Amino acid sequence: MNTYSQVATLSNTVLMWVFGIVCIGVILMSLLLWYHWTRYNMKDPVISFAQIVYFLGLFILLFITLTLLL
Amino acid sequence: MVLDDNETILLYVRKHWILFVVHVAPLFFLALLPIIFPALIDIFLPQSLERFQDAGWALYFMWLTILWVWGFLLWTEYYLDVWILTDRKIISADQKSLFNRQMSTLELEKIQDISIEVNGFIETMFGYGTIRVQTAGEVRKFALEDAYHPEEAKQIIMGTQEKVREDILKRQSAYIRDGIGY
Repeated sequence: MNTYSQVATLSNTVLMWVFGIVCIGVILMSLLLWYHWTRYNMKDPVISFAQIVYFLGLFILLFITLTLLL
Repeated sequence: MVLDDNETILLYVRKHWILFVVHVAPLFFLALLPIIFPALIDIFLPQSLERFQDAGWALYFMWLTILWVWGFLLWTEYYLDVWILTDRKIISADQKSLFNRQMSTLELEKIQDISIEVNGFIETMFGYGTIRVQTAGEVRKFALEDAYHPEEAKQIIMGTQEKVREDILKRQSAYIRDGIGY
């Protein structure tokens, strides 16, 4: 393994770790948000719409990140 | 939820959206920062960032994901801080942060006075201010700061309160007329 591939492997490993940590944080925060939206929604359809936008946007962002990583 | 059966929600009173925009605007700057910063490096040290391109974009999208979640946290704090007017009462949900929430209710027939305050140029231009509700026999005041269209909200609350009082009077009249309790 030459120096360049060692650096590349290390970089990918570190990036995957960072991505994993970000994913765990995002999941925890999403659960917290989802709890608030379902518990205090006060029959408001705007919150249901926001939920869809949030999870759709999150899916797109994580999908692009994963595509760039792999 | 503190709504009774058959209770109807008539109005949501929230803080003005401009306050949410003020809170969320720095996130747009933070979203652009990782693009501006390498662009500056590229000007002074050309081609020094080329081999980090893929990793850089991956990190940038992770950063955008964090900002996305952060933005919705701010929106949730803004949106769940609300007064809800029903046909029976006002529910005040004071969302200070995600882990700090106070809820209180006020029966409409107990309202003694509603006042609004619009202070300064910005509040006047954007049409927001503070609504205060004083209840009979209680020192405690209900207040919603930076409420959107406070004058309209006041009119609707007073109109609903009037209806509630009329209903109570009708029920009392019927009670006396029918002789129940004699």
